[in-house]
This record gives sequence, structure tokens and C-alpha cells, in this order.
Amino acid sequence: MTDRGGGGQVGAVLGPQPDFTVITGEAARRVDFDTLFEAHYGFVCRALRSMQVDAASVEDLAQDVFIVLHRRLADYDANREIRSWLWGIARRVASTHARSAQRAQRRLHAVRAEPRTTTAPDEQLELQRRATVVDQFLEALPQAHREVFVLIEIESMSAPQAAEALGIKLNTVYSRLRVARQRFQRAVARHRAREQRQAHA
Amino acid sequence: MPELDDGERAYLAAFIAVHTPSGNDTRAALADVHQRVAGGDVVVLPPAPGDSDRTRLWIAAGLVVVAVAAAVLLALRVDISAVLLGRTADDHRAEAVYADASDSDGPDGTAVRRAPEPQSSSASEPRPTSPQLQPPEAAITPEPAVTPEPAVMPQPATTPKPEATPKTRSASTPTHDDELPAPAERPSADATLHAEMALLRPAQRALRSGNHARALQLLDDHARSFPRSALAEERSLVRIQALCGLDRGDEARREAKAFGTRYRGSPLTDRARAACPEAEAP
Repeated sequence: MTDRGGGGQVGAVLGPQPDFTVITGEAARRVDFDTLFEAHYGFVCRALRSMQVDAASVEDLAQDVFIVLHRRLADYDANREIRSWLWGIARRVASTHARSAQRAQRRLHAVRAEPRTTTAPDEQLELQRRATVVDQFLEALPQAHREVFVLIEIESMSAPQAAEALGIKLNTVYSRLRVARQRFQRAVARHRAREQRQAHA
Repeated sequence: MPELDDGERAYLAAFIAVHTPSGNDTRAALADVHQRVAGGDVVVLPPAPGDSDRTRLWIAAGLVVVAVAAAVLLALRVDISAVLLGRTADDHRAEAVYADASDSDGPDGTAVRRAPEPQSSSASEPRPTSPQLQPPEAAITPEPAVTPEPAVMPQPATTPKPEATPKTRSASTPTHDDELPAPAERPSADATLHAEMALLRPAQRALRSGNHARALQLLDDHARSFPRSALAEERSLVRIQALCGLDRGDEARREAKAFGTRYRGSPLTDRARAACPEAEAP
């Protein structure tokens, strides 16, 4: 595992996630596959999860995304934000996975999927609880709104970047974001109210 | 635009923390990807991002439009064939009368008068299913003279007429029915590819885990199931690697040579050639 950035302009850490990096322009061409993988594997996993891929399949499908990337890295348009490209690949991988729904694959996943043991202290439990709120919120959100919300609020993309990644107009991005935010705020408020009720009970 | 506050963002941070793999997981996954790439693993995606969906959408929209149009025409009691062929109501009426005549060629006096004209042109086909035949037009002229209203007005009520309309309708429906299987075939093409993948992947995994015999067996299954495979190159490559792993260098070499010839310019040629280094030694 080498980080041979080759002068690649890796930077602009946005948001709280540890592996979140933006690699743009010519630099992206020089950055090798391993670096791209390490920088964006987490992004791809989260993207797939937000696309309602079951937890057991996320890692396999994330690898599929990078195998596609590996094959087509030479075709990569350096002017395009790499995560837009990865998002597009992930979306196709996820939809293929959902469409095919092959029994063999499912069996394979069932065998390979090891339930993550969350021997969780309170803090971990709280994280898990909040993450579940977001999971459920995303699941209930229409896909069009979900994609915008995930890219902007979770992956900290700018609205124009999200518009590019999704191939939609900027105004559409803003209108979907507004709706999604409102729904998210309501979901969080409901969760908080429930927690308060339980605390008082 | 409502902004999220810190408390709300904490939920998103939790989502990120829970769903982001650890550094160790990432490195392990990277190693796995390298292994899969080296093993010639392929991931085939649908040809165009949203095209098939879009096409399906257009087909669905088209079918809805056709269905609505048909419903409207039915509601208006308009013969679809008349609309499609641009025939006039008079033509239609004449044809109906003609059909009545040929069906009841005796007791009805008006019918008897018309029957001879069309019969002269198509005696063997008393009820023309193809409405564009000449006889009906010939029948138009006598129509006004012959107590037209009694003959024409009962038309919807008479038993032969309803039969005639469905016939023309059924002649046009099959064209739509013919279109229906097309969208259904698309997913089946996808499904074939996925089925191919589903069979090839275990072979690749068997190869990676050193179970070369099992890999060969799976590849044979694959070749039997998909003689004209879209993944033939990948299959051949795995086969060469498996043969090499089983110390069947000669066969591997032969296959590698054949690979170069059969798939000239394939991106996998180098890998096929290098799959069995001993075999390459002069």
C-alpha cells in the first residue's frame, strides 16, 4: 500500500469524515489507483449504503465499483470530479445488484456476511442509534431527493458538483435539497421527542 | 432554505462514522481488489446508465397513450379500423349493410337487393374481413334508395356487426401485442449476462483460492451453459490460469496461443500469455 501521490493535489478536507478528500484536475490523472481507493473507498461504501444496498453486500459491491474504476481509469476525464464518476458507477453497480437479485449471489453474501459485532459502549450505541435514524430517513426519502441530500449533506459536495454528478439542473438540486432538509429536520425532531419521552418515563 | 443545526449534523456524523470502513478494512478490501483484478475478475455493468430505464419509460408511456386512445374510441363507439384506414361513416355503414346481407341472404328483402353486387366480386368471401375491398363502395350508391334507416340503424344492435368490429380490432391489436415482448426481452438479456457472471465468479474465486480443478469444472459448466458467451475472453483467461495451476502446462500454452489468435487485440492477451511462464520458455 503505497501513497504515491506523485504531486497529486489531494486536499480540501470537507466535513467530518476522515477519508474525505477531493482530487481534481490533472492531479487526479497522476494519482495512482491505491491512493484513489484509500481516499474514496469510504465514500463508495456510504454511497452504496445510501442507495439501499444491504449491509452484507456493501463491501463486495464497493470492490466491484473499484474494479470497474481500475479497468477504466485511463478513460477518466480529469476535468470531472472523481466522486461524481464513482457515484455514477456505484449507482449502476447498485441497480444491477438490485435488479439481478440472484439467488446464488444472495447465498454467497449470506455465507460471507459476518454480522458486525457491536460490542458497544454507550457512546457506540448512541452513534448506532443516530445512524439508524438517518438510515430510516434515507430509506423513506424518494430516490431523487435522497441522492441530492446524501451528496450535499453527507458527502459535502457543493450543489454544482451534485448537479453534475446527478446530471440535473442546479435549481432542481436546490429544490430537492430544501425538501429533503425539511424532512430530515422533522425526522430528527421526532427521534428527539421519542428519546425525551423515554427518558421521562 | 432551511439549514441544519449542529445537533442535526451530529446525526449525519453518526451515519458517516457507522458506515465508513476502518483503515484496516479499507486496506484489506484494497488487497482483495488487487487479487480480483489479477485473477481477471470482471464487473459488467449495463451498457448505458439510464438508457434502458428511459426506453422502458417511453414504451410504457406509448402503451398508455395507445390504451387511452383505444378506450376513447371505444367509448365513442368508433370503429378503430375505420379511423386507421380513413374510411368514412358512409363506407362503414355500407359495409355493415353488406355484411348483414351476406349473413342473412334470404328473409330480409333489403339485403337480397344488395347481396348480388358484392358477390360478383368476391363470391367466395361473403364477409370481407379486409374492409378496404371494393364491394362496400359499390354498395354505397344503392344505399340511400334502399330503406336505409332500418338497415343502418339496427346496425349496432344486429349480432353480426359486433363480431365484425372485434375482428378488425383484433387485427390491429396484435401489432401492439408484438411490441409487448420487446421490453420484456431487455431484462432477459441483462439476466443472461448476470447469470454468466454468477457462474464465472465462483470459478475465479476457486482459482484464487487454489482450487484449480473446481475452477475448471465451473468453467466447463459455464461453457456448456453459454457457448456464445459475452465473457468468453475472461473465461478463456481463467481456464489458462487453472490449467497452469494444475501443471497442465502444454494445454495452457496451447490455449494461450489460441487466445492470442482468437481474440486479437484483446486487453487480456498479455495476461493470457503471462499466465503460465514456464510454458512461455522456449
